[in-house]
Amino acid sequence: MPAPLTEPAFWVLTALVEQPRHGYAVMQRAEELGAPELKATTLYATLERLERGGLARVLSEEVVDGRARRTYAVTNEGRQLLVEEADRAAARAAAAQRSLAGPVAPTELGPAFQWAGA
Amino acid sequence: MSARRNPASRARRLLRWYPRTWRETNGPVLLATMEEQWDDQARRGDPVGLSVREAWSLRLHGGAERLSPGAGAVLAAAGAVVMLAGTVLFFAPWSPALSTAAVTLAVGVGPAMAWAAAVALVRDVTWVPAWAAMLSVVAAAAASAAFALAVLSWSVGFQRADAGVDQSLAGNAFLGLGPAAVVLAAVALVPLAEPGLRRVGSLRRRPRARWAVAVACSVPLTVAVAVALAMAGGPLLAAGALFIGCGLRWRSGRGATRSAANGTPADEADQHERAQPAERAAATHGPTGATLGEPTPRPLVDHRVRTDARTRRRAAVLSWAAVPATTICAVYALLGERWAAPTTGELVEVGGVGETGGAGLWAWLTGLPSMNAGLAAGSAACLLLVAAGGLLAARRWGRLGVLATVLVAASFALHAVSAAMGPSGDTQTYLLFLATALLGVGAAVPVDPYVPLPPAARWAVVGLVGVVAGWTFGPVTVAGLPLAAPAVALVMAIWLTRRPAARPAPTTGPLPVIA
Repeated sequence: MPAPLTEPAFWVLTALVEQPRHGYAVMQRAEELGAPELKATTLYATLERLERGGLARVLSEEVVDGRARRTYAVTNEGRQLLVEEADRAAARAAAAQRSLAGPVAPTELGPAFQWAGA
Repeated sequence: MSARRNPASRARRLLRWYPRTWRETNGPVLLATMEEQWDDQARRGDPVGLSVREAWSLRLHGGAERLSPGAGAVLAAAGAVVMLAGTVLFFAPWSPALSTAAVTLAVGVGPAMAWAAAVALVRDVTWVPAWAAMLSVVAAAAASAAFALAVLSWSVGFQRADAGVDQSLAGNAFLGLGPAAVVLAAVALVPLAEPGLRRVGSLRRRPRARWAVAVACSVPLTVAVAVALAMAGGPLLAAGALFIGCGLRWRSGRGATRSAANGTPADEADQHERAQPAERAAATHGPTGATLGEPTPRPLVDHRVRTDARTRRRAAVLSWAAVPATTICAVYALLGERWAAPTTGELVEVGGVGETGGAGLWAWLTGLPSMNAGLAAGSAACLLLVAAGGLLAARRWGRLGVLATVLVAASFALHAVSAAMGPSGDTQTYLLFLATALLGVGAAVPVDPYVPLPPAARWAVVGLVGVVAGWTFGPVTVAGLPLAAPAVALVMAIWLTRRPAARPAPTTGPLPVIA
């Protein structure tokens, strides 16, 4: 089983899987999706590692308003890995939801609660 | 504050923490991204500028980026040379005044460099946050410095105690420096232990628990690493292994970089973009992962080579033959003294050992202590096992396997001679040194194809690593194997005799249609 995606890698792939984006657009989109603060340094370290692992690739490079801009896209492998990651997260969340929805028997509260109740 | 007034120029200066190649490739886009972020902050009315956290982030990421596999290989090699130089200086009779420098090099500078190489290797294999990588390097450097100072302090304290003089502060300092070195080494180990726990089922998705376990494991791990490194040649061996590991990653990384569109020169990248979609997809995604027009790399060693039945049978016969031969020798070595015949013959002096016996060869043989005779014969019997292993090694590694077998066989033959000479002093010691060196080089020979260097340097590295490994682990192996050989031979014989699992033949042609 592959090691889970790191937090920054997960959010970068999630931002890229919708459409190819340049660096700052990835940061903005990740923030909109609920990611914790992503610094530019972490972003490019993550993108480089994703690229080296064949999960993302450079689509184009251009200069806009005198600033270098590089657009990244997710590869098929990256998409597949994100699908697997999302499935695992969904399965975990569903298990938690099922447990939360079920009735809580008094004996399941544990010895500490029983002692406090007594 | 100038950073707030002109953050771009400060960020550009801080980009110097990154290696030049990274800076040239990614610097402009990183800086542009930061500028876009500052523009947005200005539009929102937030304070604009390079924050302290961003500045440290640039420093840490830049420093960590410098720990590439290539840098790791250089650091490991340099660390090995420095440790070797320190050891030579320490034991050189003409340089007692240089002992401080020797200790600093051998247990301070050298290990710190090797540790940085280890961080580079782990960082390349798996994801280690920049701060963790830099923390590990800095803590390891501090631990090495503390350990070197502790050794020097202990030396001062020992001399003062020997002379019957009261202890000075320098002499007592090792009591604080020693534990400080252990704690710092544990801190250095935590960032390298944490990635290893990411695959542990219950810790996979619990980063805090993972870090807690890594912290808990780091102190006993540090002690284990310290014990392993305290063995003669251990640090050199570790540095050699790191050199090979980093070198391999560096070589494979160069290939990967060449094949990535981002790493290619501009015209090649343009070609990549202009290529037809199908070609582009093939270049990016496979089918084999190789770029268009690039030959599929040949594996260094073909691990798919399967031992044929005939070779396996021959090796099994040799192993089965080794079982009784080595058992008799081991039993005689351990229990022979109990069965020694009563002294009836004339006392003869053979090789400095006074024993009973007749004359000539028989006198020499019967004059040996049973342990020596058993070990000598056992080492000779081990040649059957070596030959069995050699058949398999030759099949797998070709001529390198044959060379390795010859060296290992020579080692056991020399040990047989050494044991047969009895406890005769210097000659036996020299023979043991030679035997263990040959054993180490023999064991290191199959590593040769993996060392990323030109042939002459490659063989030099294999020889050096082999000799160090031989002198570290060889004495236990050559002296212990004749006694452990019966069990080893039995396991090997059973393993070789077992019928290998048949693999299904690859399916060719269309898949059957299921109605």
